[in-house]
Amino acid sequence: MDWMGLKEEHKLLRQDMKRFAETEIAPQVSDMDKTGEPQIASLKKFGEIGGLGILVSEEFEGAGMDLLSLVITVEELAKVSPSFALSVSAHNIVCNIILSNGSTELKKEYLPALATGRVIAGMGVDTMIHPISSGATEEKLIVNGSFSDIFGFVVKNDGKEKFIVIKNDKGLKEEKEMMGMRTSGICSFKPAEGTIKGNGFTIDSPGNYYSLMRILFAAIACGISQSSFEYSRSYSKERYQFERPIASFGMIRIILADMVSRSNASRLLVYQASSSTNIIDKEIATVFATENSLYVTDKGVQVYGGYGYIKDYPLEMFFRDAKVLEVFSGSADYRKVLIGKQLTS
Amino acid sequence: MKLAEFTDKHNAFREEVREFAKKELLSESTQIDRKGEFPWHIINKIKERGWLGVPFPEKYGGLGLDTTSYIILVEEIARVCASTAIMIAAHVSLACQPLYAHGTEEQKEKYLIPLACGEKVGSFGLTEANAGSDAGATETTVKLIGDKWIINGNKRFITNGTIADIIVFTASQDRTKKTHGISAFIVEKGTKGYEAGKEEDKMGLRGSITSELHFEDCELPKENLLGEEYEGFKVFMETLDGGRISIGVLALGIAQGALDYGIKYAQEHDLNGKPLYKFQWVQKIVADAATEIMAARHLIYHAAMLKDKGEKRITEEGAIAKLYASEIATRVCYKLHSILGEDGLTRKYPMERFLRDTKLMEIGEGTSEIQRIVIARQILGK
Repeated sequence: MDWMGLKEEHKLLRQDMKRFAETEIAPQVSDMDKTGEPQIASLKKFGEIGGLGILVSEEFEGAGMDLLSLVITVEELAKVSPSFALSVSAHNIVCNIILSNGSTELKKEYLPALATGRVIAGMGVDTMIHPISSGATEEKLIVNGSFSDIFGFVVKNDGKEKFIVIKNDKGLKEEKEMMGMRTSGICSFKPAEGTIKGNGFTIDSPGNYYSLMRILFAAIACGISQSSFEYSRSYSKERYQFERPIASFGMIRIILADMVSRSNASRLLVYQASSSTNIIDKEIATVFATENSLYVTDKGVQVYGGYGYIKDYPLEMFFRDAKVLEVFSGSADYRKVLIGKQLTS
Repeated sequence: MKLAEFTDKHNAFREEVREFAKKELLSESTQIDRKGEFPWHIINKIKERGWLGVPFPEKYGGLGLDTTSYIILVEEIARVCASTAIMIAAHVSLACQPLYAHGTEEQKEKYLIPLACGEKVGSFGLTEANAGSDAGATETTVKLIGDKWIINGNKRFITNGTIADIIVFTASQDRTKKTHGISAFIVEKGTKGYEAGKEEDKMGLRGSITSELHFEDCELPKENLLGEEYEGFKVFMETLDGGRISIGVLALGIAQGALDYGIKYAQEHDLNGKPLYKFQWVQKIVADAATEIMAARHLIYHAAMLKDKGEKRITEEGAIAKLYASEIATRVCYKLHSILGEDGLTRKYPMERFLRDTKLMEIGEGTSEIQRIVIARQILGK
């Protein structure tokens, strides 16, 4: 299934990203998930092929592509490693805030290095308890925090948002022991007063970073769902029980049909939302895609049976990663209340 | 919650287990998961109380209580630490139970007594790499040569595998006969040709052991046959009729544990200056969870009480209870997780462990899909 709105350039990009994910990342995914070791070398390589500055204009050594291109990139990476896709998303969000709202000097100083991966960025993520845009001294959750060269987060003072970027030479230490997304170097960080003096920069009114983050998380969810479905489909054809492939049983066929319906519906919503200027479209797509990725991974584990519960097979990781993503998108039920509110106000 | 059918004895036993779990297990459960090591120090304390043989007569080393009491034990332990609970469940309902139901007097003397009184650990070897849902596809073979059984083959996903002293397992005497070619046997750790193998690296239940078993020209004396020849399928089908209630109650205990934490968290934390529990979306999650858990509890204990009465419809009702409890437990954990936001993702709170642990309950001792087949067969006929 592919969306009608995809252009030739999107399809070519998808092929490139798929190739990178399968050759560069796939061989080490399982080991890195176990150790939680960040995929820094792969990130650097990804920067070299232009994946870390998808939205950054060519003037600043970026790829100068559209949001849909970034969505497709992240989706393809997530099919192999959701955690790597999360790292790439965080980095690209920082790039985009600087690109859209930074001064010319900042753009010149940072964007070429970021877009090519010479500098890796981390980003504060949004959760219900620690919303990304919180007070200046409140705890933040930073993706890529343990290894990035710089990281950014948004704070709110007197109703005004400010984007703060800090140099991170030594890496953050307060690493979170997460159930999933284990190679994304997720750390907690509590800014002290005056943290940034001489150690970074700020951008006033960071703009609509929020909605970009959402749709990228949704794209990761789509990658997880699609990959979980594809793995389950192949497995169901290879796994014989009762002298038949389990794919020949009605009970398994229903599961596969449910998985692919939800996965396809999520992708269509996300592609469409990423081409829409309407913020609520992105919200709806995000909640739908992240919540359904829980369903799809859960059912994928069922298809695999005992093999879905162990780390030698891919579904176990997707199951854990999906849950982290749903929370990073703000907890589905909480978001639904906000959607309902926006729809009726 | 106290069901009307519980006796005072049941209620007192539950209180006793709950007290133990709170005092001895609550502070350990996170570490048990994190280290991924079998919690011998806890099991030793459980053993001292006789809880590794709850439903068996005292003359066989048990406590002489009923199945319902045993199910209460598993629920209260699972509520705090599912790794510990599944060890007990595999030991009691998969190893002791078939020995009790199908063993000869000599076998009960030799194997059930040390198991039920907790001196030894038991395990049940049915699943193989290519025989999961389809247990009739058992590839492990047995041949009677002279007066010895010779066993060859491998088992996989065996709870308590490497730590078990006494293992009840199945092997095929005649693979062309499929389910009707299977017999059940007893092997002891240390028997030549028998060895437990690699342990699985699992999503959850990381303090419990799941491993392979290997048999290579393993010789067993004739008297190690459990039940009749070619009736191994019957032995384990009956075993699983009861085993399903154990897995169901594990799910129930985990879901209740998750609800306990969800409630506490919602009462103690604010969101944007308002207590979490005052949000309707939180109330919905908690109310739905409490409703589903209550329904599961009724199904589970009804099945347990049917087993105590020796009623046949336990095949159907046990499967219904397991299917329902395990599916709602996953859903409940997912939802309660949301209340905690990212606190639910880290090991600061046990919520993420509950989710990882409970997922197995939809797989172990028959996946949800197999439960549906079992239920449908009972209702629609074969």
